[in-house]
Amino acid sequence: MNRRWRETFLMWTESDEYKSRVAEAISIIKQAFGKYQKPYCSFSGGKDSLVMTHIVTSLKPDVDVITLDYSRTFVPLRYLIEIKEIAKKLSWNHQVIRSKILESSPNDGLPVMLQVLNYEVTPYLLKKGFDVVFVGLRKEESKWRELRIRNNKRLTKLPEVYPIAEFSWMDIWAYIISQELPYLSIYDKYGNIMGWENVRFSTLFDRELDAFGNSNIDGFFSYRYRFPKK
Amino acid sequence: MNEEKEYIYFADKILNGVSGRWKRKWNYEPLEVRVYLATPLVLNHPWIHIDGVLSHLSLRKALGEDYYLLPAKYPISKLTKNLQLPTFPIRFAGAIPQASISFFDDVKPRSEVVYKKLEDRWLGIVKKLYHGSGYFKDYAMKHIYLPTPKVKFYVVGDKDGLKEILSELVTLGDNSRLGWGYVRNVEIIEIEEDKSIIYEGKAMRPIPVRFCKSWSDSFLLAWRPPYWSTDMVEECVPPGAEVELLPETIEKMKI
Repeated sequence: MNRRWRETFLMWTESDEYKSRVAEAISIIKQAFGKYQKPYCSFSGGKDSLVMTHIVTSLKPDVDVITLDYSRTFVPLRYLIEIKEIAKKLSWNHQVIRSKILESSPNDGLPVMLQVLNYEVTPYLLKKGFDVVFVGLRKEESKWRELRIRNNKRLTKLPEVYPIAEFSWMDIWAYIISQELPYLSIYDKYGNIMGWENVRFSTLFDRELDAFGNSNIDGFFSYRYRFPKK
Repeated sequence: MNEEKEYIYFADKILNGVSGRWKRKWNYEPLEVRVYLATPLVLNHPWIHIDGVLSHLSLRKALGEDYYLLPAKYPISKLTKNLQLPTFPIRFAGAIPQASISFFDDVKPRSEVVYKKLEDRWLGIVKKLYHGSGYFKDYAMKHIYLPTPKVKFYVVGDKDGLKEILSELVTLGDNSRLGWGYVRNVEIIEIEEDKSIIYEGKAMRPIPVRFCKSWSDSFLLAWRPPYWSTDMVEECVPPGAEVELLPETIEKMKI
């Protein structure tokens, strides 16, 4: 990220909107801690879950942080290593869950995702005693996500809490820069061209995201991961 | 039409379409192909392969209207693999086509979004069409946009043969149906040095590692046309990486 953007985001941290949203996130998390016994943070490695997990762990450092490994077809090993390094650097209680369904799946993540969550991930987490999950979803991302947050439409049996639901993309980057958090290298690669408001970390060459033209962009930037080595 | 009949039909069409090339004698020499563009280029891969463009144009010429009826169940390489085809205006060093990837002027890529949306309010129907999925689905397609006026390729080939095929080149790059990458002019210039496979110790195109002695980087890439087919994917040295070829590969590169 260049100096001008860094300065812009740092200036944004002085604004009342930013301060009120961070305070709101903290109060949501504190409420959840009072209500539930064993929460965990769902950390994908992306910028939103990074901010969400950092706020949660700053309040309760021993909280479990869990990453679902989307398999080498969708997330190159390099990025999984980076995710692990970020968690290690921030001294989180981090764990990566592998999915047999995703590992055996061809390049088509969408139809199997609910199957993975409901038949592989959630039963394992319930067995471990988790009773709530912190999810880094934001209303700004899409209409569907806004409805999901507003109606509290959870994907699995586990109750979901959305601490950063009201955050904007500016708030996210402002938090990352002000707290000097390490973030994935893919953001610097895509951000300069796509814009910091559109940049994302998601599964690569995924048919789920074809409607948004993302495989075109991945084909240009991440061509070396088009055919993963088995 | 069953698969066997389909195979015979298209194989015959291809063989008849390229039969004129049997009599041709190619005068191979190092060349630089310059494609001047009228509209900006859009890419979904960092480079374009000139041999891929040429084989696409030759196949389209050979098959005529039948090109648009080609079976979608299997790649075209399954058809052409066992056919005895005449030589091409591009020289092959053993198996590697002597054609480099595309080189652009120093331009900064940008991202552009194109929206595909059906405006059903003009259709005069009462029923509302669903745009979330299915036939009328809306798309927001992001593109990588390169405002380059010129694309350069280095080949070892026959000047007249290339000119003949490239005269039919209308567009380059992705999404030309939206108006991107229209070709204004093609220029073929004779050069002294062969820059098609390797130049100044660096790979100019994907080279399978089995043809190399040493390399600085490698990953899975398609290295022969059709480049979209997974049949052609092999561990390759990517363009720009430092590479040293095996002596027998260097020997085959000599004209």
